Amino acid sequence: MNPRLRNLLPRCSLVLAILAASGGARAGLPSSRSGASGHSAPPWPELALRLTGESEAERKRAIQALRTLPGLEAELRKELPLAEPSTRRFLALDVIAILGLRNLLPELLAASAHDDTGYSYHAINALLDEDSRAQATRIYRERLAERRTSAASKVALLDTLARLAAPLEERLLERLLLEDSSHEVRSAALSYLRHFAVRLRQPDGLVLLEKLLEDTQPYQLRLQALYLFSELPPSIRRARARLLKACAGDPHPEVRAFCAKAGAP
Amino acid sequence: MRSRALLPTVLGFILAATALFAIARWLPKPPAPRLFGDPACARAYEAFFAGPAIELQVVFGYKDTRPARFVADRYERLLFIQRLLEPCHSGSPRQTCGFTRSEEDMELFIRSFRGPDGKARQLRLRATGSSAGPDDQENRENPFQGWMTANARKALREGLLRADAVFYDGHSRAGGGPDFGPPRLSSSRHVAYGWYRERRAGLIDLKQALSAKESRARLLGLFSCASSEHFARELLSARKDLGLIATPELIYFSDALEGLDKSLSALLEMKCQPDFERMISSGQAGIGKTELLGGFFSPKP
Repeated sequence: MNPRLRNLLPRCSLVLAILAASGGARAGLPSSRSGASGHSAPPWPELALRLTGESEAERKRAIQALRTLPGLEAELRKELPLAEPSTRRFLALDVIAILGLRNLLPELLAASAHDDTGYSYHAINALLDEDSRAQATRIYRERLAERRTSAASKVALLDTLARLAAPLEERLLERLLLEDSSHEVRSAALSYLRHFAVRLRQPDGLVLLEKLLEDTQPYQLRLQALYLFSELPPSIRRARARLLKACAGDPHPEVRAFCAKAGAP
Repeated sequence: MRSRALLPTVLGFILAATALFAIARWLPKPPAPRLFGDPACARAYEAFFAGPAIELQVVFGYKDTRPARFVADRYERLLFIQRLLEPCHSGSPRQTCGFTRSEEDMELFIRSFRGPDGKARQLRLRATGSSAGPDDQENRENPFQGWMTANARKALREGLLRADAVFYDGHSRAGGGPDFGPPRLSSSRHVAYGWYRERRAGLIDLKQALSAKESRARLLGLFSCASSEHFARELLSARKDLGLIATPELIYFSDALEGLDKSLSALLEMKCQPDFERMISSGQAGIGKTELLGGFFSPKP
């Protein structure tokens, strides 16, 4: 195994937990919430709302209260099969991720197949350990290959597989990068490619990068690809200098401006 | 003899009238103008939908979750886009549907729409995101993040100048204002709120754009924590005729998305004030209920 990959993997579950720990984060300033808690514990959704956007002290109190709430797992299980996105369901995923409720991993994996928001995968990622990572990686690759998987799910899956440094079959990556009907999926596939080429220094997918640059819409994808190209080692860029030559005549001014800055002839 | 000679003429006239009547019944009728019970409401929407194309700008700010590294706005923007591309269902009040997207520009979504006069218009909605990827630390090392940040900032500013309505879904940065890139951090890797409170760069940008002579936006939505408290007074004093949709308290991300969805739908359904306010705050589970402030329903006659 690539020694760099071996060093990355043991940290991955921790990093993914850190990444996913604030899934569903609130856009706000940490502040104390007013309101009495009373003698009986508040309902779990009210506690779940305090997990994000609040002060660290408030967050810790909410976590402690959730941990001691009787019947919590049964309540959270009820939310999982529901396909329709709702605030309760997102809050349930937050609680599962932050409390690390690994018991619910099988239900989460099953429910994620019907979750078009892709948010189930963020919660699953927070629960993965050495034992479950391989199974999850296999499921994620299968789901990516299924055409019925939603765009939002595909983006979450591509982001995760990049972080796990999990290679994808070349034809699948090509389809996601060049043919998917969602521009956002194609952008996520390009980010996946970047993760390997730039962060892991494995520039094996550059033929796909060339195909994308040769003929693709929308312009934002061409720009993202050119930024990736600019991060590659000089030897690789020199060997593909014609890609920069082509972009000097790009129909979009933002792309032409980037090319000029990047030193296109 | 004379009456017999007139018979073909009369018969011809009857046949022609019958044919014209039949054609008129089958031809599509021009849609009727919308009837508003409230004159102020009618003026507001006649002014808003006056042009042949309606420009709407939605900007998703940089949704970091510091001290965690997760950045969420790409996912939230995609939830919003998935809804835009779904077909509309007749009878449903949701108007964030039925759009087609541009192949050349991944931010642009278009659909046709009938204004209050019953005539067709083009709705052009731009949905701009801020983050290059889901990891704040990696984004800081990614040169494409610089472009994404600059592009989102420009989208909000230009939206206030050239769009009819602008919506921001992101962080308030403790009143520092809308923000579109990796946050300034303290030594403990939390967001440096003091720095934002002191500089207020995002709010200053907003005020400058709104105060510009050519600022066209009649409605601004700020779906960020405590945006009423942080921004309403200064923005409404910069533009008294502006309608401002904001939230008085902390807001959970899915409530912010719901508020954005309902606000767009209330606008496109041309709801009058009480119904507009009811619609934009409905279905939110958290305590951050969305509210309408300012002068959207009191435009100058």
